Amino acid sequence: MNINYKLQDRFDLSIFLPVIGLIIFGLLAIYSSTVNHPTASGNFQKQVVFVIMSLFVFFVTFSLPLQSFKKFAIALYGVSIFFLIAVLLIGKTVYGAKSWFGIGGFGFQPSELAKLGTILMLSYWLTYKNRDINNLKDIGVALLIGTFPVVLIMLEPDMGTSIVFLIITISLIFWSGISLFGLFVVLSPGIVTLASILGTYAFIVALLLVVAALFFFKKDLFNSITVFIINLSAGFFFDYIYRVLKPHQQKRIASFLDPSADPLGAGYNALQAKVAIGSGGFWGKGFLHGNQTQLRFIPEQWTDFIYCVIGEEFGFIGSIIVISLFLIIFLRLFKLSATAKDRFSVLVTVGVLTLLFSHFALNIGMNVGVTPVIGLPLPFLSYGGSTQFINMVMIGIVLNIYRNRKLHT
Amino acid sequence: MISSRALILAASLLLIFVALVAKLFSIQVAKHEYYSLVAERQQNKPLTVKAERGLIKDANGEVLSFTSDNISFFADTRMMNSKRIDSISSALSRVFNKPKEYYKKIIDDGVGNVCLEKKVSMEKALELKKNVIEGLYQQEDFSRIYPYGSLASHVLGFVNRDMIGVEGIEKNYQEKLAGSDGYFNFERDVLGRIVSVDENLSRAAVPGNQIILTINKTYQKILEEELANGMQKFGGESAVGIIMNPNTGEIYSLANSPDFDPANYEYSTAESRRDRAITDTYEPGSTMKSITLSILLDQNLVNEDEVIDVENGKYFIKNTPILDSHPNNQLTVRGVLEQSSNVGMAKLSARVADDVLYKYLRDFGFSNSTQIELPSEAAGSLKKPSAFSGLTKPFLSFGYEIALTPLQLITAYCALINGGTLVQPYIVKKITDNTGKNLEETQPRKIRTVISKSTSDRIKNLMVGVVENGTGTAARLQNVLVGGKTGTAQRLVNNSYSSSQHNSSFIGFFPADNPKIVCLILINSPKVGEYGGLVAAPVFRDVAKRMIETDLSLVPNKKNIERKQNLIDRLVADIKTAPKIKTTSFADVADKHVSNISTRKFFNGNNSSMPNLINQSVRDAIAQLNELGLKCKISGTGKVVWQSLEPGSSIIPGSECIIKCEPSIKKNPASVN
Repeated sequence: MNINYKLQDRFDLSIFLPVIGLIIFGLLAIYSSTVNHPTASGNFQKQVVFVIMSLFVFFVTFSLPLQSFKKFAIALYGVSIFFLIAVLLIGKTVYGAKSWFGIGGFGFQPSELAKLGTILMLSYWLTYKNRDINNLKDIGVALLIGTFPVVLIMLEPDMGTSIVFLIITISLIFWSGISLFGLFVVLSPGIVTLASILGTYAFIVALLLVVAALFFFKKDLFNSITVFIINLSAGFFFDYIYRVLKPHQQKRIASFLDPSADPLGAGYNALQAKVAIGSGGFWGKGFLHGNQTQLRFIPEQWTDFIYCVIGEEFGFIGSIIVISLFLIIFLRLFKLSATAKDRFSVLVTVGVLTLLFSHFALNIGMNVGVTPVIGLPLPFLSYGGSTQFINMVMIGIVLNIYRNRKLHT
Repeated sequence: MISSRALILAASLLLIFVALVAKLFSIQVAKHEYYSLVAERQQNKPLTVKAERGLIKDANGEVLSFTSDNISFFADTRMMNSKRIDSISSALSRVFNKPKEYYKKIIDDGVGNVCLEKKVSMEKALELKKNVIEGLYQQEDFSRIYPYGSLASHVLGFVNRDMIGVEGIEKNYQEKLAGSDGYFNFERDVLGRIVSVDENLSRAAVPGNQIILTINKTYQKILEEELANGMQKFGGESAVGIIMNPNTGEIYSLANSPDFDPANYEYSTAESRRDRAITDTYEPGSTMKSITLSILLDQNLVNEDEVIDVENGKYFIKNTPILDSHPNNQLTVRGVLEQSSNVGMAKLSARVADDVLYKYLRDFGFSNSTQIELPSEAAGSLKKPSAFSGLTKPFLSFGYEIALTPLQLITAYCALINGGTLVQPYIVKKITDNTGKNLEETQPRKIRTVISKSTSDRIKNLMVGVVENGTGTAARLQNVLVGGKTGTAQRLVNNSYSSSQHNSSFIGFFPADNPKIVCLILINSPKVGEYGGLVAAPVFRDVAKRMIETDLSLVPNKKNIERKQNLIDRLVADIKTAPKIKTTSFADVADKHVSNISTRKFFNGNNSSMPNLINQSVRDAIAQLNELGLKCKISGTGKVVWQSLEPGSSIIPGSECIIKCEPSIKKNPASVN
């Protein structure tokens, strides 16, 4: 007990053990969905190798001095941007998105590395020498750091990852203590854009609300007009973006609105995922007994739709266990964000929390049919080396923060 | 500041968490059954295996209708690309000798699955099976084959494209013949590939039952051929023939002309598909007289040898004339039937009470459908006694004011000659499963006794007289004694009786002493001749003759019937040594009869010289020539205008006399023979 207590003091098992639990669930699900698959049957062994290697990387990250991450931040961000540009030029196109480097038999996704780079860079920038987050210039730079990779990733195009980057950026700015007006400036274009999807009337109503809010904040005319113009152009910009979107992306948005309209087309996955999870019932059909999984109704199930395997074979119980493991991790990260010793550590923790949570919410959301199918992996469970590595590095960093929470420099 | 923001984030995090759990609960627990069903449907697409339709056989096991296994080819247009379309089209065009473009067009224009070739024979299908092309599918497709073409087409009926019976036995026994389709429950993956077969949820197809009819294919063939011959000879509009066993009610054959090919029913007219034997009602005319007379006999209201004044062929009831086509002064009751006198029957019918007559007629089955196992049977109609007018009874007595189907009439005749019992007519002998195991067998069913045995025997004797001496002489057979009754009824055309359109009918039975066969022939609107005795009776004779020749067991003890002319020849040859000839129990009946006919003399003194036939009716001419042992050839109808053997010339028995006839100018409005 004594040893355990000491261990818990330096190493948060309440984060590490749920992560291991999720990885085991992931391995089981990958095994189940690929064991009878003609072309993907090697994926389980590959993932086992990834897991072992990522655990090694995790311990390395955990052991590094905490201050080194601050030093890495700019370099890592720079490298990320370089790779993101490079992948657009020489990357491999997978499922209509140019987001991969092929290195030998393995692929590498620079957008995964960019997640880490952006979190570190934003945290570093926002905490550098008592920066004023309510200064429009500082907000602008923070937004620039956060949205530059978004633009590059959108060009791949990878909608899901872009959205995750936006969420991370906004939540880090929010956590840094942005004023209500600042938050309004950051968020309102997004809200207006959303309204523009819903139709002309919603768009007009949203713009009127923006005007009303501007009166409420009683800012000077120049600022008010600037913000209004940003909002107006955001609405039209989205319409433009929608039209230049690739057909498969347009279809994805359309199929989100009515997945049953084209059951064998874009909405197919969304519908089949629901059928698989729904048919699992309370107790599930049992390991390797999920017919929808075994009969391969969902293509590439071991990546974005791994949660269906859990839902079908382990039922409601299994699904809840997985969600609960995630919840434990998130709550522990929350707690850590309150106890971390400096603001950089706090922001990194929040960044990691936001990243994992948005992946979690959007992935499970699309598996159960409440969010669009935007192609995001489920952390620790989905098959894939890059994601697994980066996630474990991030867990390494937050546990490093946990280890150092009581140390004072 | 930080803590309140942390609270907001934590709250939204928990909110999203709760939302996801709620959604999970909704699809995994609340709607679990729905999604299970969807999943099961996706995984298990059952493949139906069509059951083979049962055979229809005749009484001797000859297959009249069977199902052949064919293959149809389909293409899934969703799986097509130009290369596949090309290979499929060229493969099909090679096997079926149709241009490639023909198939290309079908595939290009089609949506989903399109049929490229329907019902291809097995050999051709095997040829095509060698080419495995993705997107080309085959499916077993059955077609119904009627090996004897139009034979018994009205009995068998036909099936539509979906193998569902539309007419005849095919319709009435649809369920029994169809069997039940089987299915394989396959587990399939998303591409429709079969993963496994769930044997618990699979069922083999159960082939349909076999229907064995009472129909005798040989009789049927004879009947149809002779009906067709009759139609050709006399130029009828349509014709019906029924052969039955009078004792059991089995229908040996049932034929209509025109007929149709059940396999290609879509090319036939509704007219030709009509089973007139059971769907069409008509006024029978004189064939009804035997029924009326049997009622009178059964009620002891008449005696065969009673002499009736037939008023020289014209008699008025309530100012309505009743006419005989062959006027006589006096006839015995026997003569009334043999000469088919309307006046005589009308007078006799007055003796029976309205309700008694009505009850007998209902007992004979009129105005009730016979419940034959064929669709669309008509019930016919008969006035209730309360609705009788003063003319109803006399007209009923010779077959008017009543509508009946040919089947009803022959069924009534069964009762008339089988000892007086109405039997249930039936056409399905038994039903077996596909291996031949008996499932149900129809037993002959007696419905009720209509007339007494002795009445039946008496009316049988009288009907033998009709054939031997009366209007039905054309139905006589050389070696078996036949009984029967002719009938000619004017047809109702546009609500008035037509003078040119007749139903010519004959119902005969043999052997007369113990009838095994009763046969009805009805020819509608013959163009040559009109009388049943001239049109329908010869058809009956030809049918009966061929039946006896073909089926040796029908009349095992054939004996040459020595009729009057033979007798006279012998008398002439050797009067003193002439033995007492009594060929049949009916010979003396004939003797008596001759003496009773006072108004007619077939023997003009010198028996061995040719009589003058000019201006006589065909019937009389034939009767005289028959009496003299001459074969005759007739051309035309009406009255004789020319004869090949000069009057008075000496006769060589067995030689031939040709007579030419022309229609008489005047026709009676209500003449009935």
